Amino acid sequence: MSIQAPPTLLELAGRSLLMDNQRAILALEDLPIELFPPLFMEAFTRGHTEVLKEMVQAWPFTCLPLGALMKEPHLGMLQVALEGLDMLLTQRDRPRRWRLQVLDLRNAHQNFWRMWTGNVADACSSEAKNKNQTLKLPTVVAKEPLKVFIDVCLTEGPLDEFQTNLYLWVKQRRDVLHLCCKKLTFFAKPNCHTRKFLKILDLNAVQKVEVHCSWKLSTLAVVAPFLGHMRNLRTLLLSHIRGSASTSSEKKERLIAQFTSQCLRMDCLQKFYANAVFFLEGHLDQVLRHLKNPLKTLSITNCQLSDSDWHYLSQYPNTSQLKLLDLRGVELTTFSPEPLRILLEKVAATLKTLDLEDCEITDSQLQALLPALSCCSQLKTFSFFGNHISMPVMRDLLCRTARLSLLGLELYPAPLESYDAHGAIHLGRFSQLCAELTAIVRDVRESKLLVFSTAPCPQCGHQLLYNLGLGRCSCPAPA
Amino acid sequence: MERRKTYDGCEGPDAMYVKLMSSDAHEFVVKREPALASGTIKVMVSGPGQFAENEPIRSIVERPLHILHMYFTYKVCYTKNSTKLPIAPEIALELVMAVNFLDC
Repeated sequence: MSIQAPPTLLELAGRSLLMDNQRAILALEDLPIELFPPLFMEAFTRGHTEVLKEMVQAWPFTCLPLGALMKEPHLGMLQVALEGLDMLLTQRDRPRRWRLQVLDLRNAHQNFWRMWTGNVADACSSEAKNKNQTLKLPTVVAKEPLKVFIDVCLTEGPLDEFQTNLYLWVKQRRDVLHLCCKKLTFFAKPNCHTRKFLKILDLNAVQKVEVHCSWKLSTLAVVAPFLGHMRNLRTLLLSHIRGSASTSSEKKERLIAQFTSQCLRMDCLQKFYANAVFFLEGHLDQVLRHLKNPLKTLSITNCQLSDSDWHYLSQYPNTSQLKLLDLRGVELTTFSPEPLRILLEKVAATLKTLDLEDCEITDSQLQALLPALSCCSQLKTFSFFGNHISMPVMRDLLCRTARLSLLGLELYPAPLESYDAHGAIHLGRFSQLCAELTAIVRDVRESKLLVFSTAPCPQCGHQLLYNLGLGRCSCPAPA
Repeated sequence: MERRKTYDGCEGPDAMYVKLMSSDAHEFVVKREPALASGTIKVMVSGPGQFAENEPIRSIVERPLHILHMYFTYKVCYTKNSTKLPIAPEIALELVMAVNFLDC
């Protein structure tokens, strides 16, 4: 609401109603359902906790998206909502008006509240009422356990106050409600507190797990059983799983098996990301072979793969419908390009994003890949920075992309001829070569964003980007 | 005899005023422009044959309509330092229901 805009009459009426708790609570019985959200917001803003508890019980929709209203964890509001739920749960017979099935503490469903902010008149208009299905009283089908949804981020140290309060409350009521988490993020190694929290989660609800810290393989093995219970897991992201020099190879194999045996139970996995996961080398088949469904995303980055891994990747049936293939930082120089060629042929009809950045692909390897690459008709993003390709092969590559009419973002390395004998970039030659290559692309098709990049400066890491107008760094040229 | 004010500009599509009549036959004459803040009133007064002039707002009795009348004036004169629009809590529920119907 701007400073100049007056409050709406509904806001003023709502505030007046809320000045008398008892009157407001009695009014809930007759309140039209479309007025619950704005009144709830008003009560929340002004801290009318007793009315809020009653409104939680009388909430006429199946979901109360409280997290979107709180924006950040708000302990006081959490306690009010949980007290309201307790009042519901302690009633022996389900009241006629009980509709609430989900308390959503995530910062999601902002549209639900946005609809009621500043545009209540629109929301209440007869046109909106006809369109908006949430205004219809949901049918209560059967008595289902209440669900509380939350996104969980586990960090070092004990649980914070919000998590602790929620944990204690849920632990005492596990027979009548489920604590559900769709996205679970690890920012640290799990400790006894975070393991306690994992034990009360309904792991069936988890759809996404991301690990954004460095774990030892033994830590992954400890977490693996939890992953195995996540029967609806769709996305798994592992990052920086490191080995330990002191671990024997037998123990290493045992720990790997503890993880891969849980992959058997990931019935719904569609997106698998592994960044700097050391144990993948030589074990890719163990990780992937038990997955039941075709993958949509396969991202193996900054890892080393063996010949057998590449061979498996080309034969693995569940990569035939990939939309995203990311092999950034997987060094290909010493490998045959044949498995990757076979893989690209398999996914030509579905692949939308291909990232081969910093794979150190050479001329001959790229030439082997070109026929398959030119058939990837759905490709929208192709990242090829950081590979060693000469001008003639770059020309060939760009000519072969003529049929890739959906390409919107193309990132190519500066041709090898852009560098002098010492490996330093020759600015004039770089510009001239890139201009020629850009003209080739524009002759054969439309191009939305086409960028050529030099290798990073060994001193400052700066890269020259042709077609983005970025200038060179000021580091002195190598002697 | 009580002097009765007359308002010449309540009829026709270009009238400067609109006459609101509650279900219990109380009349309020308000300026047309601020009254259009109510989506329902806007529908009522716009276009030929939508509603007859003086059609009573059937589901609303006098008290909330009186507040509505005051709100139109409040809205026009509103500044950062405006005095508040007094709404007694005992009428608040009735008013909330009325506003829901009036779409404002």
